[in-house]
Amino acid sequence: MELIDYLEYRDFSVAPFTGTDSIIPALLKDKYIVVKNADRYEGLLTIKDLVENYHNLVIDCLREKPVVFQDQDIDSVIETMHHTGFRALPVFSRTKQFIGVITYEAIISLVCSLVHHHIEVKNIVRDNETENMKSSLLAELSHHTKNPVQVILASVELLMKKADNLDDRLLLKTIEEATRIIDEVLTKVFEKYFL
Amino acid sequence: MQLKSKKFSVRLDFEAIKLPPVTDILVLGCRVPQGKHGVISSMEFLAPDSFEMIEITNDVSADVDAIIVNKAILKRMPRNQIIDVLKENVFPYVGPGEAIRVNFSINIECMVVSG
Repeated sequence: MELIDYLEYRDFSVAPFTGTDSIIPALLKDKYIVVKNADRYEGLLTIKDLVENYHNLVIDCLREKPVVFQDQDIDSVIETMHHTGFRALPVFSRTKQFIGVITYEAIISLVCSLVHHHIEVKNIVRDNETENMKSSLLAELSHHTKNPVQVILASVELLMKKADNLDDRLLLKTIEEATRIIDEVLTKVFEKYFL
Repeated sequence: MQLKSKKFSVRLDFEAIKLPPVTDILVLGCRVPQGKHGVISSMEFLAPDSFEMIEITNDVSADVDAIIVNKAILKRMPRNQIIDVLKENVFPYVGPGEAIRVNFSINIECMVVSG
């Protein structure tokens, strides 16, 4: 279940120089309207835009909105919605093509389905032997992976002190961040099964 | 029922106007109903390629959304200096929802110093 599964895409869109009054009924019904000039995406008009930035033409009501990418995590999308107050945000592909809209209601559905899925997984009961095998496999995995990860982090720290150009520093920073993510995942697995 | 006759009284006057109604600068307040895109588009129809829209950020003025400037003025004076002059002399008097026409004449004096 990913963000992209919960995107809305409607064929209905309006041109930027459409009169605002003529689209109010559609906006009240759908909560947002995509604004396109020919086939080019111009913006997303929400009720909040209209209330706070009313003008005669749709293009003048539009305000810049944060960009959401299709592979972005749900937490950051919820945070962006809370921070900006927009309940609908445009979603783009990595190639910066507009691919749809994510709404607060869709996020709620996504979170509910994830919670439901989690409960289902927890309810699977296996026999003791299988559980023991799973535990020992995870113990081996986390033990043998955590040590090399710590070695990588220490080496990166040493190399960072020697790196004297920006490119090398950026590369090392990327390695460090990626390794820390792996380390966090391993720590979580360890805490879940052995603490 | 009998219909009574109607009488109309008309009073009129007329004068020639110039189009577009702005020749130098138009200052648009932040809630002008026509909007900056709406106004610049209508100016484009009336006088193609003659005007340019400059958006005004909140740190310059919270009450002004944009200014529409005749390109001839931009050719004679840098836009930052135009904005500075307007910021000091016009922007404080612009209310939200107002559009203000500014007559902006420039005289250039040059002093040639020979060595």
